[in-house]
Amino acid sequence: MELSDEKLIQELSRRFAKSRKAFSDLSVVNHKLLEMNERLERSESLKSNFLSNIRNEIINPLNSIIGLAGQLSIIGSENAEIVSISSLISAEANGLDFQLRNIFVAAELEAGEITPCCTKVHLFQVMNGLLDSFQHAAARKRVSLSLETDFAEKTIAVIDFEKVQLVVSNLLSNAIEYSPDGSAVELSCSIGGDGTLHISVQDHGIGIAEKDHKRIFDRFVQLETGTTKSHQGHGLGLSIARALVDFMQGSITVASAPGEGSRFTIVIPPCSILDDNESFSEAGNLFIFDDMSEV
Amino acid sequence: MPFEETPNKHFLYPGTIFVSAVECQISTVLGSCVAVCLWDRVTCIGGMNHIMLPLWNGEGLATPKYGNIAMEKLLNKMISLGCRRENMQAKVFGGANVSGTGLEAFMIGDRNIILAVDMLWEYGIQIVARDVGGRVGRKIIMNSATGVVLVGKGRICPDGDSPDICS
Repeated sequence: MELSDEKLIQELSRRFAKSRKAFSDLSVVNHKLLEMNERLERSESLKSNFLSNIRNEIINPLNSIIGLAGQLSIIGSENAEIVSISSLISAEANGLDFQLRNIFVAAELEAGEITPCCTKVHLFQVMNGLLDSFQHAAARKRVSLSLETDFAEKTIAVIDFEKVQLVVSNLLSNAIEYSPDGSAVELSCSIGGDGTLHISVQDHGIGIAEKDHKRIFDRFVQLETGTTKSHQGHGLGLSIARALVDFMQGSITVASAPGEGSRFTIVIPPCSILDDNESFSEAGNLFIFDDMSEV
Repeated sequence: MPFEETPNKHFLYPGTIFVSAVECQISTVLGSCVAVCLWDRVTCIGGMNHIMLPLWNGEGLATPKYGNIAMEKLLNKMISLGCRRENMQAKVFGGANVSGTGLEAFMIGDRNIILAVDMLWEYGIQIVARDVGGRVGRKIIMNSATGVVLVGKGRICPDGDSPDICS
């Protein structure tokens, strides 16, 4: 086909205009995509922060209540009524705080969003602090709490503090709940040579029949059910304790028989990571494994 | 395709899920566990789970340690970020028989693989790559924006070997 120069130039400029148009259309679309992407990123960070946000919204005021109740009892130490009311406030708020922590951790575990967080702690102080937080509940039932350790008072251990604290809190809370008036609950803690943490909680309560040993770790299971049940709680505690111990790659066991009390023992391997994910494992040579090209 | 370092990194612990709308390097270490990497080619969002056991038995917490829970949660998380099932593709890794025994009860790796593959088939998500089974642990690194996955094979894990490699 014969084409004059003029026609050729015309055709070329027409095509150039067309591709310019396509190009500008494309950049508009691209721009919109970028905008969309930003919005998406924002909503993602909002969503993933939701749990931790709501957690702070609730835990912070609760901590204020606990702190203020403590101050109130100091300020009003002359007046016995003020002291008893303020200690009641702080005990109830502590109880609420403990239940909320359980619920938040259960939500985190079920969402698969739980992460390890190992910190250096004074183990003795941690254990003592745990006992202290249950003194009020124990005093109400005239249950005595004792602590037995096999390490020096200044021992520093690397543990996932929050998780261990919650697991032991659940065990202590159960032990006190199921202890008869005037009995004792013993918490013992030791560290193995390789840094393995052993903690056990012994009570002298009603005990658990062997056939129920597995079932108690299920959700919402309380061996005594119905509207006349004499014990508080929702039956989440032990299932959370077990899920947390599993996450820390440890184990939780129970030794108990009816009428002979129960002894719950947790064994937690040493934290292998200290804010450094990469040290977890770098073994294995890496090679490219790309889309569809292999397998 | 070159595998570039990304500023965001996430180490996926067993029984957890991670989905990222921004480019992120998600890594994990697998023994008998199975990891499913989902990637949406339109939104370029990727995510991963880490299955330890095939099925939740209705006891304890319904955590994504169990395959049926983990698959559902991963898919829902992707969808909640604007991904669509028909645009997703999957890569499946892990499920090694690290203990080396052939007993059915212990073949957790194989059972994890079957569950993951079955559920992906049910969801209608195509599996574009897989590196499963065998006797060695794996380390995988996924780029959540490109869907590219690197696999590193560990050594053969004898019984009772370090759980770092054979989780």
